[in-house]
Amino acid sequence: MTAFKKSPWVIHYDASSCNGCDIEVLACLMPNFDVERFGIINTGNPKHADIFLVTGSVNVQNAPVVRNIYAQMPEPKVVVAIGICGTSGGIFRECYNVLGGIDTVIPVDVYVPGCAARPEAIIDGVVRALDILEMKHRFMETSAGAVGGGLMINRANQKDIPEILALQKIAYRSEAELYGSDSVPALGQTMEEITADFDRMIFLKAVANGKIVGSIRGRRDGDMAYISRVAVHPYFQGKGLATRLIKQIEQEVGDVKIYEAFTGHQSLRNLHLYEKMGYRQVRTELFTPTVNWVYLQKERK
Amino acid sequence: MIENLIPWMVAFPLLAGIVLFFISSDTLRRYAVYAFTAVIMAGSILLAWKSNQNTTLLDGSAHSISLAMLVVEALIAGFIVWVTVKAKNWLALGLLLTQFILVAGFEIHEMLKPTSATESIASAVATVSPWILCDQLSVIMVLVIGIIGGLICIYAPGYMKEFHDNHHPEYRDRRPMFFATFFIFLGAMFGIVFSNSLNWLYFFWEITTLSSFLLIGYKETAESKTNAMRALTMNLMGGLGFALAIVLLGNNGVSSLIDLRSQGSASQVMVIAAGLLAFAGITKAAQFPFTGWLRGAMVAPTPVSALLHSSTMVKAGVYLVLRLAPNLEGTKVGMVVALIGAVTFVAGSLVAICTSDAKKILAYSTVANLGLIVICGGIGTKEALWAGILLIIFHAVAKALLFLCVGVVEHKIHSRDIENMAGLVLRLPKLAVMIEIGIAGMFLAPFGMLISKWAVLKAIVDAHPLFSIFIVFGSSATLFFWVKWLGKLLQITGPMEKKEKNISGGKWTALISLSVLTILTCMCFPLISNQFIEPYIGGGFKAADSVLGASNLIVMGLMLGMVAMFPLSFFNYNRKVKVVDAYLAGANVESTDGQARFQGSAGIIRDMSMHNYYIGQLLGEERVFKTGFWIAVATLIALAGSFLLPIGMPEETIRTIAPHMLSLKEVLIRLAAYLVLAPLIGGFLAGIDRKLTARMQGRRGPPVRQAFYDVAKLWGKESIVVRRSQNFYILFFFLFVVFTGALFFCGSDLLLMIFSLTLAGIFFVLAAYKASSPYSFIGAERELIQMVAYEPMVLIAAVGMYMTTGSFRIDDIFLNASPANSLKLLLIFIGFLYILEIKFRKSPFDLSTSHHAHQELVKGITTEFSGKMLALIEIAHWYENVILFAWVGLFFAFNLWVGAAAMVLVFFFMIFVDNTFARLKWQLAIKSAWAVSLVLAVANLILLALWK
Repeated sequence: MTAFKKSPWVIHYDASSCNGCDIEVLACLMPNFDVERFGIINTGNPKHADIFLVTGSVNVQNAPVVRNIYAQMPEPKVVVAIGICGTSGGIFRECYNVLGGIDTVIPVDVYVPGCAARPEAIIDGVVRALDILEMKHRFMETSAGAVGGGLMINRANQKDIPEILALQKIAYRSEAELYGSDSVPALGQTMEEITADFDRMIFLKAVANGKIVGSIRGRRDGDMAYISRVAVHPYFQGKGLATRLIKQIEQEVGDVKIYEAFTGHQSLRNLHLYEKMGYRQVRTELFTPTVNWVYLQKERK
Repeated sequence: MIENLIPWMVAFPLLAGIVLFFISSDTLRRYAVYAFTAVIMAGSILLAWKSNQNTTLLDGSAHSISLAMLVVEALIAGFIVWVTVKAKNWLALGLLLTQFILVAGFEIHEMLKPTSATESIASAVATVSPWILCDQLSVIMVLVIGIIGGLICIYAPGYMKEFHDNHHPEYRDRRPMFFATFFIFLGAMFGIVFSNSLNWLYFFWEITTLSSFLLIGYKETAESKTNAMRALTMNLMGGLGFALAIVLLGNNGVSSLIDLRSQGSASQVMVIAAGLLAFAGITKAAQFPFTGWLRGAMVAPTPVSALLHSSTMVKAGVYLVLRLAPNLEGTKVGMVVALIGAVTFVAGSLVAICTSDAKKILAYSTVANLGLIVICGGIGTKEALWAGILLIIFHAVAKALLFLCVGVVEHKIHSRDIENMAGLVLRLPKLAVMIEIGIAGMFLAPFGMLISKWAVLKAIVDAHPLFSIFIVFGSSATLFFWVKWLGKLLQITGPMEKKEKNISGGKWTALISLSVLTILTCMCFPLISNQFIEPYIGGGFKAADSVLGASNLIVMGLMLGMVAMFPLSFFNYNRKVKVVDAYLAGANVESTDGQARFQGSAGIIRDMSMHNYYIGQLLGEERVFKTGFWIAVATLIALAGSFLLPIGMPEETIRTIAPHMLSLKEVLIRLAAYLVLAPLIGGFLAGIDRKLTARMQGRRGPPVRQAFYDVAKLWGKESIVVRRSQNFYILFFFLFVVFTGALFFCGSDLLLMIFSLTLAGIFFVLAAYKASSPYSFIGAERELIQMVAYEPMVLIAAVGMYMTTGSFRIDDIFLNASPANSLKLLLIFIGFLYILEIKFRKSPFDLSTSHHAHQELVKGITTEFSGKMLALIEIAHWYENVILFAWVGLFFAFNLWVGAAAMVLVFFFMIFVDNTFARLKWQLAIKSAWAVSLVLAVANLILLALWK
């Protein structure tokens, strides 16, 4: 057991709960249940917290708040959705303003159903979250050393597609913060669409510790090669993995004259990365009122 | 050489002033000013270089010069009569006429005397003491006036051009008069510091009064006219005191400073005369109740304020008071003078908390610091004198720098309100760094002013322990407004545009030179002390032995080295950290322009902004000002009354204990033990605390090792920050806390240890300011308030230990401990317990942040720190707690078991109070802490005085 399992600090947010679950969460802290026995502290500050306890369903008003709090928690972090409203929207699911359960805005790791969820169930959910927390921590630690040696880049198989789609949704979250989530097609992609992509494109995956942490896809059309959807898990970002993926795909697409890639006009890090690798901006296109695609090209030497 | 240089130094600026009066071309005037200033600065340095002993001059033509002076004096008097009659200021007119008649009558009487007697003129001259005096104190003053004043002169032309051309075209351009007065002012200042003859001194004194009147009234608005008239009236009051002193002394055969000094405090007449002269000094130094004129002088253009506040005018006042130190030492008059200084120090510092006008803050802090120097003069012992002179130097340099910076900032951002200086590090980066240097020089350990303040505290405890109360409260107040200002400069909440352009070369020259000078004086102060101050004080006085101690110098060097590493934080920018928005309760709104915004009620999007605390309700500028005024008036009446009482107090014997030096081996063993054991003990204490708290609440609580789990976990978390540099401040907080403990366990100086701990605290507060989040901001402000609340008691505890054991060194305190000593400090110990609750951040004082699940400020000061930095903060607290418990043990150090028992009892007591009391409002926290400190400290110090 590492320290991560012994010192979980939680932040509790009431999305739109009827307060039933909230009272049970607070009951956990009271003498009868006393979760401080396990080192659990209710911090009330996302920057100190490891576990995000959310009660109630998400509605239009509080969706950005849930997203903000989640974004401000340092990795590794775990989300526990509490109560039936938190897990699925509950009886409010069909309301005009309700988006659904917590997982409609942020990834949820543990679901604790119940109306209201009993303190025993909540404590059980948090204890399960501890395993996930520790796993994420270990994953984070491997990321530090993995990029150099222990990381393999291979062609992806049909059965990797769900994992790649999940990775894509985690990796493009930072882009969504830049433009607003509606404007990022990578986040909205469905299973059918990605399967269609797989049939006509080359998919590469980067694997560390048996998990896919990066992916890229490319397509050849005459003398042109089109590169798209560079996705790197947040733990592995800024460690040169994207560069390696792009170099690899340039080789895999075969004998072409020009490589072309595109990204959003505000994604300065991506633009910088491509330009460092010899790409030049050729044109911009209006995609949505908030996003312009910037197209970059590189000639093969 | 030197004989010619001295009169020339006085005459040159006067002549330069006259020349400048007739130059109407702007460019020509600018170069003339530069050239003249260069000559003056070169002259000052040459003089300092050449003079290495007391030079006194007996000029054969002195009598004719005196006569010329009398004529000029009459002209000045005529001018002032005209001005006062025009303004219908009958009080000033009366004051002027009285003193002019007194002095002129006396001088004419004196001049006629030799002829009326049968003696020849030659023999009369021989018995008269020299007219001119140039000792080390004069040299220091010459350097201050020449170099600092000179730099202000270099700064002035650029400023005045911008002032008239861009900012205030409505005022009449009177620059020829302005610069002429400026230089005449400098000449008069040189005259004051070279004069030995009291008549000559008086002559130059009056010229400074007149010039300040002209300069303050420069704008010719109704406000500036009133303020100028007020300055004139108040200075004339002082002048009257001066005139009375001249007549009184003249009738007793004393006509010069040297004569006066040799008379000491032997006769009542000398003491009374010294009191009158000190009164003149107090008015010129703008002490309460005469502070009004300096506050009013703010209406003048910035170079004038800088000149009046930092290097001249007010310095003339304290210069005179320090000259009188031998006459005031150990007398009731001296005590009253010191009391006025003390009242001014406290009131000035408190007023400065309440205002956000940068120039006002500088003005009040000037007044406060001059108060400190006046205390030194009033106490008059050698240590006090040493500290006072050092204060003059450091204050002149740092304050001039700050004034000039604020002047430029005002032109650039069109405001001198501190609230508008947020993010200056981005908008005006170089100026912000200079302001930081200036502020650091003003109050941060281990820089200049702090060394002096420390010496003042030591000197005062030896002479009049009760005075230390004023010092500790005043200096904790200064802490508040300086840190607040520093924090504001660092804060960034929105897009910042860099505006640092079009600042003239003259301004840069002055600013950069002053910054470098500030740093240099801080580093070279042992040299300054050795070369100039110690020889002046004389009598084998060695600051290194009697005030500082060699080991403390080493420690200060270490601290300076550590602080000097701070600019390394720039390398921190390339580190890979995730930058996120400040925590705004999840209501952040995405923005592309850098301005932090949040969604308020009814969906309205608002900009985030932050505003400092000014404790306006608690203190209030006018309220403190008035209180200070009336206390000072009462003190002055007491001064008059004290003439009637028998004079002279038994001189206190100052106990000196040979500095006890540790061997290197012992130091290393202690350090190793401390570094390893302190976090272990501290961590377990934190765990036991949580366990006990849980039990008191009917819970089982976490394991005792929980604190270590928490830190280990935090160490593995991701680094997220709001501002990239915020983590560096935390690193320094940690370093200085650890350093403080090292000082404690190596038996170093207790005061130095306190200063180091305060410095650590300041880094913590600045980190939270830097994070620019509303929650951490309020946490930082509250932390500051807590620091202000506990600082006095912490210092008093040190003073109490010094008074019982005779040393500030922790080793000596430990060795000299006895049950009687512990008993003597009982009240102080109770007060110490009170503030310990604040230091541990326990209820009812867990205002800035809390370990418990209280959430009103999210996590207050620590809100924006996560991961490794939060772990460092936690470990720093462990170290801090161990240091504080060790200090508790020090109160009962006579027996190991008793000490240990005391620590355990205090620990339980703290936890008990923590769990049984509700949180106080911050207003009540500071009020109660100060009240408790004041009552218990005064009672205990009086008891200590009686016990002996």
